Amino acid sequence: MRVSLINLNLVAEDAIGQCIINQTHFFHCRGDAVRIYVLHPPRNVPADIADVARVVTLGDLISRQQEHFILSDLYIYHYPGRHALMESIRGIDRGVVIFYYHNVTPPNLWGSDADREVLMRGIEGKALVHYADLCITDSPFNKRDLAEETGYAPDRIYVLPLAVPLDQFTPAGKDPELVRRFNLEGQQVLSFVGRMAGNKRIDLLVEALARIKEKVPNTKLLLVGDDQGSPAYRQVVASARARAQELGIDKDVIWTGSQYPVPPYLRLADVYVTASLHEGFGVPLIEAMACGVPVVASRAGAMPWVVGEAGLLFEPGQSEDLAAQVQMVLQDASLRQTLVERGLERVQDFGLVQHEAGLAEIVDSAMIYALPRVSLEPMTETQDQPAARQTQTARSETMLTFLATEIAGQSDIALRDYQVRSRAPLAGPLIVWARRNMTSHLREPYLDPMIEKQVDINRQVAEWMRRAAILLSDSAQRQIELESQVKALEVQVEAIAGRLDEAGARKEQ
Amino acid sequence: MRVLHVTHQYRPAIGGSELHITNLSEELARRGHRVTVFTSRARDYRTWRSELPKVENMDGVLIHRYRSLVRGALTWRILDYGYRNYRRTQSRCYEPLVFLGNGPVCPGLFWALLRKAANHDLVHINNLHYAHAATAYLVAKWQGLPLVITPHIHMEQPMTYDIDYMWTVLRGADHVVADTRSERQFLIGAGLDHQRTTTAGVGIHIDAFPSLDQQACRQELGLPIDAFVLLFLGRKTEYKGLDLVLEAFSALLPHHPQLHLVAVGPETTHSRALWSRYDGLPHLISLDRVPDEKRLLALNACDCLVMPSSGEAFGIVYLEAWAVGKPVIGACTRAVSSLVADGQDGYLVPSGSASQLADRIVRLLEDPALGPQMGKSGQKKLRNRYTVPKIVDIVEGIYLRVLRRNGHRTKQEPRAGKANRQARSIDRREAR
Repeated sequence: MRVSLINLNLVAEDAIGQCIINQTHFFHCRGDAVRIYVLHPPRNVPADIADVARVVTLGDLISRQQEHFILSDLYIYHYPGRHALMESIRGIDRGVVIFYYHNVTPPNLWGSDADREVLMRGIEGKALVHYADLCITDSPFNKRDLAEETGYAPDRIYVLPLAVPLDQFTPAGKDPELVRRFNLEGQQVLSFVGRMAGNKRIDLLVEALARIKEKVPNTKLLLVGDDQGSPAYRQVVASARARAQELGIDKDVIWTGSQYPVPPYLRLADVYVTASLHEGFGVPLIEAMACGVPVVASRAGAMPWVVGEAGLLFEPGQSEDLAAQVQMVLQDASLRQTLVERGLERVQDFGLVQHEAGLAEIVDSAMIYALPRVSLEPMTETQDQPAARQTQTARSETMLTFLATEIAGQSDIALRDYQVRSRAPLAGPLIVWARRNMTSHLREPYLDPMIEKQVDINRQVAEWMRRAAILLSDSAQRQIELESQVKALEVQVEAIAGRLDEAGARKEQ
Repeated sequence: MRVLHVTHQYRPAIGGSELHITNLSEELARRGHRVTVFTSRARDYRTWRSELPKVENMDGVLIHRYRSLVRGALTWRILDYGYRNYRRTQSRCYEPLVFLGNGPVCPGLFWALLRKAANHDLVHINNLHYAHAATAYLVAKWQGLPLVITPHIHMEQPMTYDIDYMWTVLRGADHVVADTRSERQFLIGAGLDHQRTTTAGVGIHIDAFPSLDQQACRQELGLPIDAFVLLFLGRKTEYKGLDLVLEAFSALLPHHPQLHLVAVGPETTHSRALWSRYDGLPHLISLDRVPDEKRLLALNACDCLVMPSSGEAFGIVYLEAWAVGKPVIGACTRAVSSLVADGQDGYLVPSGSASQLADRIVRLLEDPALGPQMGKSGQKKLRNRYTVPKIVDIVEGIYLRVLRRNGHRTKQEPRAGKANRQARSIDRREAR
């Protein structure tokens, strides 16, 4: 089928950008044709993603110039805030439309008037969810938030956590080069990763650092993330710096700016801290836990759910509480160890595999809901990769099994419990008698046998589909075995050819 | 999109569902859709007397009205007989009596639907209870047209909706638009598919309810400046709860002499009986049907809206009170409790409890800051959820979803030129 993904931009380092890239790979593996429509040119994305990305304007989308877009079977609108391309959701008259909600920071928490209008529009634009058949969002907090603010039915909002590449975020020692660069030798490091927006309450981290240093003097705060990208960030940074100076700890607060890759910076930390007042998900929390760093987060937004039992929480906006929790982790080695272990266990729920399985389930159920109108045939040649082929087979198999169960469930079309009744006053019994006795000449010789025959056929079809699913999975298995045998043989042939060449050369000598 | 709205009455007829369909049609027309309304020529559902013009174009909406049979005393008796026996026997043979008794029976509407409905992308029925719903349902099904219905079910009055043919209409519709969350839950509980049921609600134009100077409004209505004014606003029929308001008011008056009650809305035999019972009660002003300006005066003059109605499908009047920043007191029915948050933007009292009602009035009376604070919170809720554009967003989304589900392509690309122009202006704004 054809899939269109729509977003404001496509930046590889961005959580939403990563989510779109993951989804594109997911649909590619299923054999679907994908296009990504964005307003701004993609940045730092792999070549295969850049190939399917199209930079368009709203006019391009609604003037029906993009053939793929107008003929798509599935539209996924990512919503990081209201952007021009979102408006095209008002005109989609085919396929299935999914609204992918990533939450919008409330303007009163942004801490600056710089982007107030944009954020206000973002809040207003949430109502566009009503144009979608269903909504996917990253956390139960987002689900509640959207349902309450727009009145969208919660039973049509699915929670699907963002995926974190767990193979890149792994526990490891501190990078000596970075330790030297930031002068962290023998220091306890608190770190925070994210943009320096008002809702992240950097000032609170600075205040907590001052309190922590009273008990644990060799502590530093490492702030990793965009601190210059917007006037709002610059404002936040300036006020946090001023506060640090006031408290006499400006030398202990290190601003690194945006840094990629992130894992080495996370591994520098002894504790990951965030004082954010509003998070729709909080990817860095998972990344930190995956790097074996204990986390302390505020009890706000989606964070209590993301952290679960694997970290400590504090009351939002209270630096004393934050400082107390961090001190506990810094001073209690066994607590720290427990948190690290729990964190590593917790992050297993946020892998790519879980994300893809969840997405497949949601997309398949949405497609089955719209089944008569949507072509489920693969649109591109399945890539010649065993993994892609396997996913494709697994998907066909699930589909077949599902349809088989559906048909088996509905195979008995005879109305066996039906009883002739009539509620007509007085004439009722007479009508019942007439209907029972004057139709038997049709029912018994013709209709009943026909219906029974159809029931048999339905059951057989379900059975055949079930067997086909089994055969399909067997043959896929057999194919993999044969391929590995062929590979082994190829290796042997190459070895023999090599040996023959050697023998030939020796002979010539 | 070409949309056909079929409703029992349309502006200038008054009523909650009439206002809803008018707002909806006009806003959709403003957004470039072609909206046609088929309705009766009546402006009063009690008689269905044909008074309004046959064809009219109001604010971009084309309205075709059809003559209906007049509902007289005999029709009401037929309806009553039909209802009673249907409830007793559940026999379908009484359904035609309910259908005929409810009205409006418009043969012209049926004929027009047969001829013209197919020219539209979608049929939207407003209000399940009257005969037009079954008529439009039949035609839409015969012609295979996508069908949306906003039933406005009064859940506390099963007599009005629990009729077999009405359930057939609900189950057969491609999408059912509920007014409140609880109505949606009720419909899903009754076996409707959750994918085909959506809560939209009813919206009002906030601009139509500006906040005016309270003192001036009170002077205009002949109320003392320092009074605590309760407002009852609605048709004074039995289920709206005017009797409870009067009971609570008369009980409180000796202890709180600053209390005043203004009751605005068309009089009925029920209300006349009440007036004779409470004859001579001071501090009471009753107004019959009033123009919109006077209604606005009353809303602005009051301190609190008191409407313990036991049978609301939605309750637009609470929104109107919030629009001018006033708190509300409603009855704890399913629909109203989906709308009013008890203790936040108003109070909910158990149906039929005058003592609880009096208790809530006293709470507002004794804490002068509480009322305005609740009103403000209601106003915020109204702006976020219940303005006409917000409701139309939801309904427009439903139309698109229904068309997508039915594999329909819109017969005429909606306002290609206008949409393009809008898109270009948005693009330009983004570019800046």
